Amino acid sequence: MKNFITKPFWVLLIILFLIWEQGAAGLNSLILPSIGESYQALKEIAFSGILVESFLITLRRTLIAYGMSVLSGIILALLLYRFQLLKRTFRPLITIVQATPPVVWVSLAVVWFGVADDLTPIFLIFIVSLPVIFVNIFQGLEEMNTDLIEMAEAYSTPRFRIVKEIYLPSLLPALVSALSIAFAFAWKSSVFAEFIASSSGIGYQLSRANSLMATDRLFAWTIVLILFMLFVEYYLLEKLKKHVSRWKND
Amino acid sequence: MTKIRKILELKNINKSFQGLKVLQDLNLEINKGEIGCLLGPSGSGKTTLFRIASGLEAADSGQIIKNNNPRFSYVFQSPRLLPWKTAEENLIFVQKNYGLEKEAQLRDLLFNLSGLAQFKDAYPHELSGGMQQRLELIRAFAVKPDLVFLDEPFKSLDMKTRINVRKLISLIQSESEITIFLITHDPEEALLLADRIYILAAEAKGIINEIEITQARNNRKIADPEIYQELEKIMEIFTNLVSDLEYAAEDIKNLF
Repeated sequence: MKNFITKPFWVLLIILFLIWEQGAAGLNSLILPSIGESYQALKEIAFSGILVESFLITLRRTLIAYGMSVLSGIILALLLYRFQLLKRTFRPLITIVQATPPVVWVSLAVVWFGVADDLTPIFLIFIVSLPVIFVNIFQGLEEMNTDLIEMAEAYSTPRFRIVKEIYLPSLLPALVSALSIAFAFAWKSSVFAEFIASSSGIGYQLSRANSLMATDRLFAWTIVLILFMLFVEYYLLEKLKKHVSRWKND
Repeated sequence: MTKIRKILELKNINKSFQGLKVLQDLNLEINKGEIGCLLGPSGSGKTTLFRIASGLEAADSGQIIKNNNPRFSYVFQSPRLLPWKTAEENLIFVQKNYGLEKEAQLRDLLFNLSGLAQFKDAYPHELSGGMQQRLELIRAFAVKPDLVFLDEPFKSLDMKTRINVRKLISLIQSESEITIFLITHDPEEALLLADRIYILAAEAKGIINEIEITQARNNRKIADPEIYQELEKIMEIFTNLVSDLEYAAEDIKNLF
């Protein structure tokens, strides 16, 4: 968390809050609600129970799809690294999937699954996060230090120990980086898909607030989304990053 | 029964890279309990020979005979240490393959001899280049090898560490009967350490000379007449390997 909470950032945050408050004072709250109004809206959704309920729904969808994409991404990377034919066949396809805008996927998902509560967000998260996981792990595999593997083989190290004690630790930094980037993608995709094609979750609440012109609620939900993302990125993943790179120079 | 003196024999070894012959009909015998130094100019195929002899790479043709199934160990040109393991864990990593992981006393001895006793729990990035090279060296001895291959172990070391490493190799070898096969391009290093020097010539000409040094290692100095004479001999061999440039004298005079 130290990386995030720096003195200059606090100063910037205060300035932004002041601009926000100043701007809100001169504008209609439908256009820009004040900090107080946004906080009030946050309190309302918290006390009514919608906050926890919607948050848990979005989190559940994200975790399911994210877990699936992490697992598939790793397996895919290992297969394509191991088999040249698979690499030559599927590597461009992954780039195509990655290059396709999320809005195309969500439109297709609506056509294929309808306005399905779970399926559309899960599909979108999976299809958006998978290439991120794959690319990072695959790159990690390609940049593997083969000298270390040769050393281990020269000393008659059994294959399973080479995998466990060389391949895995070599890949951990790439994996953690993949997890971090992919989570941000997954979280945003989940909300996006819910916004377009779901009747529950934070994305749906955002869409409701939007159609009701409840800008204060829009701000309240945005604050929830950002705070959770920051907690994951700067607390959970930061701890993990520190742990896996404790042997590194930087 | 006669005692087998040779621990490793290379017969008629050939190796090419992209059509370029690096080793041609090369023959080499490594004697048990000796320090053998392979000396040669850059590009003569020293590392290729090292890799073939140690089994890291296959020859295109030829025969490699290992007597009594010797255990090999390796000191690579740049240290190949696992960065996520501490100094001691790096030793244990290779020891495990031979059931030697419980030999903590051996590890302690090696750490003490190499001056790394205080750094057992340090990660490689916390060690200097010279310390990493020493760690690489003691890892090779931690597996109780019969034959240690060292690929230019002194290459990037300062004078003090060079002397330290040379003494360490010499002491362990003389007290343990471990065979050492070392590559270097430094004739002085070879003369101070080796029992036998093999000179490898470039352009796949093979081992063109083999020099046996009989003087005890502890007392050797380059200034000793006997050692100095050998150095002169090696210098002469190397000078003969360098093509004569006198033919260009007239051109140099005209063009400058």
